[in-house]
Amino acid sequence: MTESPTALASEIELIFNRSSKGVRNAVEGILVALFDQCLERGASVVGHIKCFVEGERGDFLFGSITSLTEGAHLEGSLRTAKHAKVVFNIIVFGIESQVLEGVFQKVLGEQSRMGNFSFRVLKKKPSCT
Amino acid sequence: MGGFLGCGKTTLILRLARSLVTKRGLKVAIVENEIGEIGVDGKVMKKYGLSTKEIFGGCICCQLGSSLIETLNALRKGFNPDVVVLEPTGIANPESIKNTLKYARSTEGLPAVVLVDPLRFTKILEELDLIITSQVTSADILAINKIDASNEEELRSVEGRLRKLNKGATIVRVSAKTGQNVEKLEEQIFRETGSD
Repeated sequence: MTESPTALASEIELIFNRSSKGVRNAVEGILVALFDQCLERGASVVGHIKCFVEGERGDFLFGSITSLTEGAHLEGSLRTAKHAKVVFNIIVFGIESQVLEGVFQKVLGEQSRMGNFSFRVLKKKPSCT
Repeated sequence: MGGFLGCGKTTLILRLARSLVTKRGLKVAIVENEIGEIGVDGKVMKKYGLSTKEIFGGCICCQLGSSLIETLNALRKGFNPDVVVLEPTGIANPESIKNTLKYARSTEGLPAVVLVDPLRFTKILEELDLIITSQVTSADILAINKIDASNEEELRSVEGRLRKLNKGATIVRVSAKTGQNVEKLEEQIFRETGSD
């Protein structure tokens, strides 16, 4: 197999209907679903999926996941937010960048419906390797 | 501070850097290199109050060596740190970075610490043999992380495989999450630089 990674970096804004305590759950759900879907679509190794979340008052969360068994690890001070900017950084092996892009779009769509939030993409850099 | 993606480099560096600042009173700078052009690790370091420079859009071991030298020179002029901790991308080869660092001042004999995740080591070595082998063989110190989540049998098995790949490196077991043995690792790093 190839040892070249496929990477995707994206900055999105999560928008909740009201100041939500669900930001932590939303981010956790996205991380787990991204990991699961990358494997589902044929990734041989998920190198890392990590994110940085910043709320309106500068409070933040750092999130990462390296296995479904261990689950997502989140730390930081962010508790509630109406708007949160999230940078995602994904590096996987064994799938093409278009596939990874598709996974990212699908997961965001599904999770936003389940978590009752909307989102908009602020910046996106698909594969850079 | 090398090691494959997701092995806990950022968490360990945060812990080490805070210890260097608070316990040893040193001026610490972090240099973050990420493959993606929108970084995460640098934002985390800055939020925790650490002086951080970021190099984006490629790997300093193969594509961005000159950016690394420029960054180190700028740090020396602007902040003049006592310690610089370099976090390369998780696919970088520390040996290539050491070769690049020969072109920077006062970087002789710096130890390459390579962090290993014992929970994923076997699977990743199987899939990405070249990357993992090059990282392990170029280490001066091999730090087995996540010991809080591993059992003795797993740790011994990984230690055995690491020892086969690199006979000369010092092996230290740590937990970046709980802080277990991080002080021991810190002492070993200083011992290898000849500054302790």
